[in-house]
Amino acid sequence: MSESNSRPSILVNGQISEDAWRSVDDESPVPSEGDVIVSLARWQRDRPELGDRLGRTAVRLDPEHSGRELADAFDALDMIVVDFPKFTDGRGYTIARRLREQLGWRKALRAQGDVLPDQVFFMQRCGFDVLALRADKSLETAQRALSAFSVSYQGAADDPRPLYRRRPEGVVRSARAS
Amino acid sequence: MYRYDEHDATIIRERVAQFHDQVARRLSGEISENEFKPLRLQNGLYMQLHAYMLRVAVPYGWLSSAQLHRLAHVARTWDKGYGHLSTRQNVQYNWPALEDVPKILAALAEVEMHAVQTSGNCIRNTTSDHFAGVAREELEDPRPYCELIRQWSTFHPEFAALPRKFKIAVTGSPRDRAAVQIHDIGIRIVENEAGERGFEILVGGGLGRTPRIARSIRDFLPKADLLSYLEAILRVYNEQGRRDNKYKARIKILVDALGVDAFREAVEAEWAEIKDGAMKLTDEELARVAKHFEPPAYESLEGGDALLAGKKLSPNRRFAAWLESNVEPHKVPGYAAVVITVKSPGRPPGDITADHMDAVAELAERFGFGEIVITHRQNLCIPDVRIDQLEALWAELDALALGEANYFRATDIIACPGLDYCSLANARSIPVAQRLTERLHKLERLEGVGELTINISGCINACGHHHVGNIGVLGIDKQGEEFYQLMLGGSSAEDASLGKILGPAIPSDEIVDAVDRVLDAYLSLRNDGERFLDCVRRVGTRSFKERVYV
Amino acid sequence: MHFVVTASATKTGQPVYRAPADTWTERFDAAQSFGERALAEAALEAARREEAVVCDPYLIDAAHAEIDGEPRLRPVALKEQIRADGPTVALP
Repeated sequence: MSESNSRPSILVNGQISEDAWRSVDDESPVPSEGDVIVSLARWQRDRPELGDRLGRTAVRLDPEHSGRELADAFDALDMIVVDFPKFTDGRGYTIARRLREQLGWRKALRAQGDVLPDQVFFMQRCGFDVLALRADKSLETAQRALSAFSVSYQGAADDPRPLYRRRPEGVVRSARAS
Repeated sequence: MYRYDEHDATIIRERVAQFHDQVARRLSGEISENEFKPLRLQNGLYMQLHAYMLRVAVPYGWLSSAQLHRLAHVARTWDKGYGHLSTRQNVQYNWPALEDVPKILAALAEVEMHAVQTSGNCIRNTTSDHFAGVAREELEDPRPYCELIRQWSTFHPEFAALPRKFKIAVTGSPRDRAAVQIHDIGIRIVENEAGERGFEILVGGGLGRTPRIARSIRDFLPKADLLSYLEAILRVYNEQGRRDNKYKARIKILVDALGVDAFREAVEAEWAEIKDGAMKLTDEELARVAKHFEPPAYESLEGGDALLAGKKLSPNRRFAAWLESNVEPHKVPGYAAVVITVKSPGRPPGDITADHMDAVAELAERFGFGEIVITHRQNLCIPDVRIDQLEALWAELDALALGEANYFRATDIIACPGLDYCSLANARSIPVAQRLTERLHKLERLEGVGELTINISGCINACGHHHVGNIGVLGIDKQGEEFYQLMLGGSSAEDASLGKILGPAIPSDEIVDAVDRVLDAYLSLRNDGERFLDCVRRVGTRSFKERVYV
Repeated sequence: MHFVVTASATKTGQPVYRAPADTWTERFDAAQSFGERALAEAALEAARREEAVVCDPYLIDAAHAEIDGEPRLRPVALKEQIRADGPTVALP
């Protein structure tokens, strides 16, 4: 995985925000300050020194990971990143739901890679709150797509209750995108 | 049947808006064809040889007469005046323009219809028994469970980018008319020793390049656990299914690779984490959905079976033959379920004109309760007709050229669109079906041969289900010439089996004679009252081969 | 052997063929044919840049065949012949 370009902006909880994070590959030195993303392999190798950094640290998972690899590292991390090398590879959705619903990850969860506006509604439902769209894609279109549906049948990371457990109270999802 | 509440209606309305926006972005060039493809596919929109093809979802095949009228309207307004009934109980249009598709979806949404997830690598429309709710031997109506699965799978956020497509079928009857054993997940409603109702769960069935009969991974699943168990299966598949080769990406390959026991363990482990969570179905939800499928207001009628038996003595041979082949016993005395086959000489199997759609919708109003079902064999069914009105209904159908007595007979052919429409095909299917129909359609021949299924596919992807036809025909391309391989002994019913190849592929102009010889062989080999399938199973294919390759 | 660039029109899904002056035609008769693969590849490359208008351009083989006593350029593959001429069965 190459270093990602510095990108002007990302969506954080539906808001267009500046991206403070930079990826560091497995061979380059990790600066002590600043917000960095490292691979799972790097994290497993250099965990002690990464744990002493002043800046924030995130670990990137790839589709073949499950999320369980980081279950004992939640306290030491500020963000988990799930990479989507191809938008047609949906394994990252399962990783996200497992992190959120089964392992109890509460801090930031970021989708990056081949992240397109038409995927972000599903990503948000699976628990991603940081969306680093592919550089050529419109953040405004993605922002609109976050509210494509006002009601969903299934439970997911955003609300574990399926519609049949929400019915009596009404079904309007909180307007997290606005 | 199921009627939308405000939430269902909202979701479909928002879907129309979403796809409208996606089409606009495609037409403006903002998104590439590569990016648009999965989006359009998950809305049932394919690219075929001559045009786009739009597949409209008909959940478990069930239509109101108003919906069928609307499908006719769509065919006339935005297509070429006809539609196609698919083996998964949907309706396809072969000629829509991209910019018209949002309008079609809006027109469909008005009658609670859509094209959601009728293609693409996601959970497809759930299919079922076309005699659901009326079959005499049925244990329980499967439709409420189909509807629960429909809602759970619709825009499921985790399973929109699976390794490959995913198909589920449910039957509530020991007689399997839904082909559950050739689905990614097949579900049978069963009763356990304590007398409780639940589900048997089968996985890994499918056709295509690697045909497989599904394997059972759970004998009994309590009803309340249906959706969490499906979610566990899908999660294992989403994570572990192969993504490096599209021909090895279906769940059947994963089940093969892991072995059914290891696959089951993986599912059960995943399920253990979620089974007691919010997905557990509540009694209120089961009752709410079941209420939509309560029986209609049947009259109490006398003399059901005796009346039907008497009618079969009618001097009108064609009517009597139709009663024999196209009319199914009903669980309510005095009623019958009627199959309207849309297959007769000159017609492409499964194609139906807008005028016929309108006519059948009207007949369903007059003779039934305004409901029509699309069957797996690409026909239509009116599930509740009074036996004393069968003759009047048949006369109307016959006047429309829809009174053919051939349900599960030699001319009730399943055929994929083949090379006439499909960009994947290697050979044509429709002309072969038409030539076979021309040869076999005489009543004497149909009655003489009796129960028989012929399934034709134009390529190895097997949309025409050739592996599970009693006679399967597979089109192949031999140096630019169309050849056809014959298979015998397949079935998609409760006794599911894969057909065996009979011998070398046969040139197009000899295939009809070859099938005719298969039928002659059967007539000379069969025991008294023995079905074609049973005969093939008893004597083996070799005896047939000798008589076919002369 | 001749080569023709074909694609599906984005708006209608109909087959279209590359014609002279970087245009598209729905008629195979009016298509531009290339006697050399390299030239056809170059035309295909240009066609690929028109992605908003057409989907998935590709090359097909074409050859002269005697039709009504005249030699006419026809697609070689049955699939492409059907694509150019329409379904071989009557529509319902």
